Amino acid sequence: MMTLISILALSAVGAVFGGLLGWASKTLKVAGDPRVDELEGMLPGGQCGQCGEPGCRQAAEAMVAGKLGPDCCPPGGRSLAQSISSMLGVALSGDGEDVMVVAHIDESQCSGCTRCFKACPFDAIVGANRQMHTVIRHVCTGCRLCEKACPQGCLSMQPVAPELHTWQWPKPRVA
Amino acid sequence: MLGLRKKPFSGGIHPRGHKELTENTAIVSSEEPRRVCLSLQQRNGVVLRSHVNVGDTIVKGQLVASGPNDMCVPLHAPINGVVEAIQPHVSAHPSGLKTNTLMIKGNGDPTWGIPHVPCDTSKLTPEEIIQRVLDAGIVGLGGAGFPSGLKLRFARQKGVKTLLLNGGECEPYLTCDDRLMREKAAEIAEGAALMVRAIGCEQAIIAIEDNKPDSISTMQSAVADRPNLSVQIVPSLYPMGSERHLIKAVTGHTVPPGQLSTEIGILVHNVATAQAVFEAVRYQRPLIRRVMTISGGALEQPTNLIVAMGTLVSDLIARCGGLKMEAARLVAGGPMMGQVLPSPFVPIDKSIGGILALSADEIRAEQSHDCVRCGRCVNACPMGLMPFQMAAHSRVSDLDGARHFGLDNCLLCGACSYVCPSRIPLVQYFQHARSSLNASRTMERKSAHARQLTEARQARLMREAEAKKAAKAARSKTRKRPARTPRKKADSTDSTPTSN
Repeated sequence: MMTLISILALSAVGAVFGGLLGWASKTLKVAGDPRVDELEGMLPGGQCGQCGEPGCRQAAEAMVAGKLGPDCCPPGGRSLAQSISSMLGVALSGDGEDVMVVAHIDESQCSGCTRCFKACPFDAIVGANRQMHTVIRHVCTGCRLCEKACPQGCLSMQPVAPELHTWQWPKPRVA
Repeated sequence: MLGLRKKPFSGGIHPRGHKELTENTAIVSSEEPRRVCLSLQQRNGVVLRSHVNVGDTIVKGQLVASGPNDMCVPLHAPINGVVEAIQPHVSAHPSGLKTNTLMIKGNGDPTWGIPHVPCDTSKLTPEEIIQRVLDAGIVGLGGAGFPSGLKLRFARQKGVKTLLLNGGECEPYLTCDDRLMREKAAEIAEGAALMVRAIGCEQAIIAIEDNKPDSISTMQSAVADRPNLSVQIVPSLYPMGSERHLIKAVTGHTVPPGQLSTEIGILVHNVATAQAVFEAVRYQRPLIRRVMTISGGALEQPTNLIVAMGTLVSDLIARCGGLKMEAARLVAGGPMMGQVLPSPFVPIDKSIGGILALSADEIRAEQSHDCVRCGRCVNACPMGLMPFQMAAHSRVSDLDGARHFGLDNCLLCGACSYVCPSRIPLVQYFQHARSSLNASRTMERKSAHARQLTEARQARLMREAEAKKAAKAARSKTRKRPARTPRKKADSTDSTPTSN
C-alpha cells in the first residue's frame, strides 16, 4: 500500500512539473536573443559589409555571439563602439582615435554613371544620369560602398579635417 | 578677523594676483592698427557671410559680415581702410586652426565713418533697446561670448527680477574691468539702467571684489542717485567671476546644476558689457573695440589698452614696448582659464579680455607625478566635485565614469590644477574629456540621422518596386486588348512609373 501511494504521488508530482515545463516552454519561448534586435537598432543600418558580415543583422548576431568585437563598425565610429561595449559588457580594445573619412568625387573625372549613388545606402550622393555627381559631406558615413562601385576610379575616401566646432582637445601627455 | 569671515561658497582658492603690474595706470587708447584680421567663423562654428569684397573701401563701424540668425552676432569694421584679402588665417581658437578671415588694411584715420549722434534713450521701448544691442554685435565681454541681446530677450521672457553686474574679475593679472569701473563708472551705471529697462526687472546689483577699493568707491558714487542700482562688495576668492558663484555670494541662492540662472530670476552680465550696451544704445555704435589687459612678466610695459577687434597679438605686444625677455608662453585671457595662443600672429576677438606674455619664472613646467590622494583638489573645487576621480576616468577614456563624477558640472576653472602638489594636468584632462564627449554626441546624432535616411531609402525603393509591379500588371491587362503599334507601347513604358 505504502509503495503504491509513493509511486502515485511521485508520478503525480512528475506529471504536474512536466506539464508546467511543457507549458512554459511554449508560452515563455524566446525567439532569439533580444540583444540582437537591440543591437541591430543601434547600428547604422547601411548594410555596407565593412565588418565582414553580409549585413547589420548578421553583424549584430556575431557581436552577441562574441565573434566580432564592439568596434567592428567603421561608419558608427568610436561612440557606437562605446555604447555597444557598455551594452554587451565587453571591454573595448585599444584606445585608438579613429580617423573619420568621407567620400570625395573628383568631379572632373565623373562620367555620370549613377552607380555610386545607387550604391549609397544613406542617399548621401546626389546626381543624375550623365550629370556630375557630388557627395553631401555631412551625411556621408564613410562606409566605402560607393568607392567599390565607381568604374571611373574618381571616388576616393578623404579624412575629415577638423573644424572649429569638431576639434578636440588632445589628451595631456603625462610622463 | 579674516579667518572668522565665512566663505561665500565652498572651495575656491587665493592665487597670487599680479594685478599691481597694471592696476595703477590709466587705460591707454591704442593707435589705429595698420591691419586687422576678422575671422568669419564664430567660436560656435557658424560661418558668417561677408558683405564686402576684396578691394572694397570700408569705413569704421560699417557692417561687414552677418550670420543667418540672432545666435551669431554681426561683424563691423573696426578701422577705416581697404579689404586686402579674404583668406584662411590662424584664429584665436586654442586649436590654431585656420579660418576664413577678412584682412583689412587700415589708413590710420581714427574717425568713425558713420556719424553717431547721441539719442534720448528714455524714449526707447525695451524691444528697441534689445534690438540695438543685437545690431551692435555685442557679446558677453567676460569671456563666454554669448550674444548679450539674446540674453536680455530670454531674461525678459523669463521675467527675471534682478540683474547682477559682474565686477568680480577674479583672474590674476587682469585689471581691465577694474580700470573700466574707475574711469567709466557713469557709463557702466547708465548701461546697467538701460539693461534694467530692457529686461523689465526691479534692480541691478553691481558686485565688486573687496580687493578693488577704488572701483567700489567710484561705482558707489556713480549709482548714488539711481534708486534701483546698488553696489555690493564680495570677498575676493577665485572663481568669484563665475556666474553661479557670484550669485551664491551676493544672494545666497544656488543655481541648480544643469539650469540657467534665469530659472531663479537672476541675469548676470559683465560690467564691460554694460559699458558696451551704453555705447550701443546711446550712440548706436557697434562693438568694435574693447579694453584689454596686456600684461605678464616678459612684457616691457604692461598696460590696459583700448584695442580694435582683429588687432594681431604681435602688434599689441609691440604697443606695450615689446618683450624684455623670452616669453615662455602667450596666453589669451587670464592665467587660470585662458588659452595658450598658438602663435603671436593671432587676431584678438570679442571674448578675449587679456593677453599675457609670461616669463619662464611665471609658468610651472614641472613634471607631473602620480596622484597621492591628498584631496586638496576636492577641497579647492568650487563645484564640490572630486577632480582626481574625474581625471582618473578621463585618463582611460572612460567618459561615462567621468560624467558620473560630475564632468558636466565642471567649470574648467583650473582651481584643482593650481593646488595639485603632484602637478597633474587635471583641467586639461577635463577639457579633453568634454570635447570627446561632445564629439561622440555629434557622432550619435549623425548615426541616428543615417539610420533615418537608410530607412527612408528602403521605403522609397519598396514603393518604387511596387509601383513598377502595378504598372506591369496594368500593362499586361491592356495587352489582352487588340495589339497596339510597338512605338506607342514604348512610350507608355517610360511614362507609367512616374504617373503612378
